[in-house]
Amino acid sequence: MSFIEVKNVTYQYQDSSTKALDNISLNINQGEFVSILGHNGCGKSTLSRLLNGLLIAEQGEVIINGINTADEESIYEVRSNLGLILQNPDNQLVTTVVEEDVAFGCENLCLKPDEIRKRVDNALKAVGMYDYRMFDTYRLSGGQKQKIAIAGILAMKPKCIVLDEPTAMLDISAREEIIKIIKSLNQKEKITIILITHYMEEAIESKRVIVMNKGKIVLDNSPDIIFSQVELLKSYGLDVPQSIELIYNLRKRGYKIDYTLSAQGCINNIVSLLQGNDI
Amino acid sequence: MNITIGQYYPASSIIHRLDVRVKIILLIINIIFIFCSFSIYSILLMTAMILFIMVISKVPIKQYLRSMKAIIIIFIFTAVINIFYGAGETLWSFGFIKITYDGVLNAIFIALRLLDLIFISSVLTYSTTPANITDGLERVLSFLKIFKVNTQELSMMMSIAIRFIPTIMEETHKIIDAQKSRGADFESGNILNRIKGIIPIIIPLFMSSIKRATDLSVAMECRCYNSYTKKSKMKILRIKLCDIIAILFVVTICIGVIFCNIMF
Amino acid sequence: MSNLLEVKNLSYIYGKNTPYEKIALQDINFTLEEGKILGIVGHSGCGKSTLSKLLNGLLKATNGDIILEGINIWEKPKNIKSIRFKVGLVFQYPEHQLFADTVKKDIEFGVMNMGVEKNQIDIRVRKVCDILNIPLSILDKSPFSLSGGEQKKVALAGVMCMQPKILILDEPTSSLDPLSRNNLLNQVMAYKEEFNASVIFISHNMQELSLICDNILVIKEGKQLAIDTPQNLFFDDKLLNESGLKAPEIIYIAKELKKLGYRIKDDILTVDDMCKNILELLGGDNK
Repeated sequence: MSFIEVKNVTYQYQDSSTKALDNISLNINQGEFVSILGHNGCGKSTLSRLLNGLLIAEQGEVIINGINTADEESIYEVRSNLGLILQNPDNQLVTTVVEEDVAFGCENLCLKPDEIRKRVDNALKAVGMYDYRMFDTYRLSGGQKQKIAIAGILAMKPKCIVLDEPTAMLDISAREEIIKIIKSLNQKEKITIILITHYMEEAIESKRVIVMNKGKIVLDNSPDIIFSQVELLKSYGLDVPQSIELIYNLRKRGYKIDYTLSAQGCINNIVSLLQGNDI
Repeated sequence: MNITIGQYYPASSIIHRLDVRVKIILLIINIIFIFCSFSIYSILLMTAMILFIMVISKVPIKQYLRSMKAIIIIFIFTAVINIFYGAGETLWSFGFIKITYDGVLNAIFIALRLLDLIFISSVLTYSTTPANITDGLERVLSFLKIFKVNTQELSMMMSIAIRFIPTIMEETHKIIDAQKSRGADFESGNILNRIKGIIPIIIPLFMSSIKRATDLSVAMECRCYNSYTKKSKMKILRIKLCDIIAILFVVTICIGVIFCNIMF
Repeated sequence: MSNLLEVKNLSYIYGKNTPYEKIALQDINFTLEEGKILGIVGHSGCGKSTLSKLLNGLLKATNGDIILEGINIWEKPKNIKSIRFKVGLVFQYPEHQLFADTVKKDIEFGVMNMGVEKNQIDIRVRKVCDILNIPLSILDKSPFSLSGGEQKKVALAGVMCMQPKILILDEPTSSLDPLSRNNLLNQVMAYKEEFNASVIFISHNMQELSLICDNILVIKEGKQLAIDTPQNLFFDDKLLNESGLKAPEIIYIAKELKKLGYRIKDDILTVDDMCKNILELLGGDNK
């Protein structure tokens, strides 16, 4: 049994004429780091809200760690196991003081004060914001607010964290810091990570990439296989790293050169190509 | 942008360290006794106590005087009215303007009552962060649960409102800048035009507040918030020695006030 | 080509003479010619947004001059509003400023404040919808019923409708997906061509700046580090280090190949440029 099971789910919003999600099925195992890529409006945000029971599918079911999200009695168990981080850092912070905001989730779970204190401190340290614990939430930068949001979910000790375009409103350095934290949570704490994004440089960091288009899952594989399908990705409104596009163009011209995900790999492959042609 | 909501003034005084529940209850008691001081000596005793508390709070007197700015007009107006409209023996007269002994006494009473009220309330807001005040209020008012009042929800609403004040102010400035960049004018024109001119600010602000509320409720649900089951709290409030001393001190003064009331 | 805009020794201090005094910008100098695109890049908090507000008169500089079409913009302070019609500023997340009952009324807001005649307004609205690919069918809808991307276009249309000579875009591609991003860049170029306008494009995405800018101004902590063509900037390692900025991936690849001794041109900016260069080395297509 997978940690997350999505079975034949279809979802349509009340005021919409098209299906947001059209008969999708998906399995994700504990400990995976999965990216979900897709243009705006492809259904990825809808999927994230179905995963933690904020939305319930009319057709099909979503099972998290053996619990059906439609089961109202167990919804809090689902949510304490699967946390969701949203795009806007400001609209996720509930209180004025950093450490109190991080404690919010634990207080809702009625944990003992000592336990809450320990979890809050550990969560803040995991995101590198322990020194800011007494700060006003208002005074933090976008990236710092997003880290606090992550700490707030971390303190609840979830088995999985879903992040819905967490870096869309952040600048490049803040974006990199968030991705670093997410990777470390997956590698060190073995937390399942589902990263929803349209930035391919973020998707590359994961082990498995799922591409969505118009409410359907169209591709599901490792990053190197996904990104080599340049034409297909462009038809879905997505982009590829410049190194991959370069290799794609050279291949179109008839040259044999392998795809690779890193810039260094690209350089090595170009050098091999040139040497192979005695340049 | 520096906004001091609730005007918290950080300092390391004994007042700052007191348990917030004790501060709120003592504040209520003080307010009651300010109005129940019937003799001049009672009110002077209350004033002396409040001045003493202000000094040990280590918040500069200048800050306390600032809190008076809002009511300075009412203060002067009330004092003056009472000086000229009292009964009793005349102290000084000029034509139909009469200053009586009682008038002066009343004026002093009212002035001191007003000052004491403002100052003792300021002691609370200067020595306690807004977050702690709402937390304290929730704990103190928890007895209202008997009347089916959901104090947890009320406290959550207050705390969210306070949390978003600076955010919404910043948003307002951004919207004003954006509309000004499209030629909107908020400075000139007659009253009607200026009122119409508010629409390009209010509507976007309203819409963004709705979006904020929607996002925030999603975030709260994700962290298992519900307003019915009792939440635990990370911060445990314990009554300390300084709290007991503070309670005894205030109670002693209050007994003194009752004594003065009876004797004078 | 004459200088449309000249910025001389521009400085701005927040909260002057208060305990919160902070130097936001110091000694910024640049010129902008008609029909050119200037990129402004720098980390968060470096002063990019402050600069944009100084340029359209929302803020008044503590030092220095802004000369638009030969005249200082603050020469007649009472007329500062008219400057905002010539220097159109589109803020980040402009969709947050939408307020009217219909899309058409919102787009018209700026142009009506200019006092343009009614029939001219309709022509302008159609023109701008054409440039931004806004279907005329949504003109009568409420702006709040549109998707995020459509709202952004409507907000941008509202400023473009004023046909400013200088269009300043503050991080216009934030939270846009790649397809929408490319469309926006093309639309900005189309606006520039149509009205022979100049554009100031503020971003921290070096890749998109490299695609459309004639020059890029680099700001760090309020100070001007450099202003130069994208090619010169990206190949200046010392500057990139100092500014903490990263050149687009393709430039990195070009530089590394050059270091290894291959004949790589100095003006590589795009994947196409790099591909052409490699093909030249290889002697054409491999058929």
